[in-house]
Amino acid sequence: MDRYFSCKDIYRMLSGYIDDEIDTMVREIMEEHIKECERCLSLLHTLEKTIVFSRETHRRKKVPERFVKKVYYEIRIRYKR
Amino acid sequence: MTNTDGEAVLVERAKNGDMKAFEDLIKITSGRIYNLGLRMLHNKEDAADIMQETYIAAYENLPKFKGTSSFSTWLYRIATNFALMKMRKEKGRKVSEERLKDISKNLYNTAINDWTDSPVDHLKKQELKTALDKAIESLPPKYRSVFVLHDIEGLPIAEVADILSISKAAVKTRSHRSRLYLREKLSEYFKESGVKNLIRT
Repeated sequence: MDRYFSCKDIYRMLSGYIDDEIDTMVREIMEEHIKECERCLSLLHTLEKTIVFSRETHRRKKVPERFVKKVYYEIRIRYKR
Repeated sequence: MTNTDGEAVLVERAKNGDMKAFEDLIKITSGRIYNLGLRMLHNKEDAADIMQETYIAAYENLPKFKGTSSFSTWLYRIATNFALMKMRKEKGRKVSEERLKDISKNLYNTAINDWTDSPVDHLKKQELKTALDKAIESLPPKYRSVFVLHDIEGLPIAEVADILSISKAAVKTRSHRSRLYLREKLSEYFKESGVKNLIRT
């Protein structure tokens, strides 16, 4: 494989890499670069962790029953036939 | 019967005027719609408003719902539009689109520290959430909506594109820029909290 990616190429493609939107051959060339490049590896790790933290700190909360009841009520008084 | 099949049956009944069927649809989907509002606006009252506006609009427009996308996707689209309207009225400062575009260009000249091994205890997690929420809130609405739908709700790129009526390429670009910006804000947070720890010891 003689294709080579610069760090700038990697920066541009990292989200695609995380989302698994990159085809296998390109992915392999990226991985060749990342395993040799501390900067790109750190960027990949911190980008992935940013997503993990965002999910962990926004776990789904139970919807308060009073809010759901209010929706039922509003719809019933507006549209009850 | 899958959830979507169950939804489709309830939608048909609701279209024929069955109020109970529509209430069942609310019961099944309200958790997702409320949390979408909460994740977009970080405020319970706003999330409740969005939920109410969404179901009223859905009820009124039910005859127009053709079922080309799932009922949940259709609801997400309505709720996201209401959330976007609320976001556009927010007073807080937003990061400019130019700045978001520049982050990836400037990465080459920026120090990239790996903070993924930093310990995050319970107390720090709350502090981290506050820092992260502040950063998410400073994203312009069209970026924040993509980030919440794709990275927090976990919806695939194609569905986010469908909900927002934009191309998949636009979703990918906005998602990438949002992630890089939030990563940068978290890097600043870890740098500062590291300094705080040094002062404490």
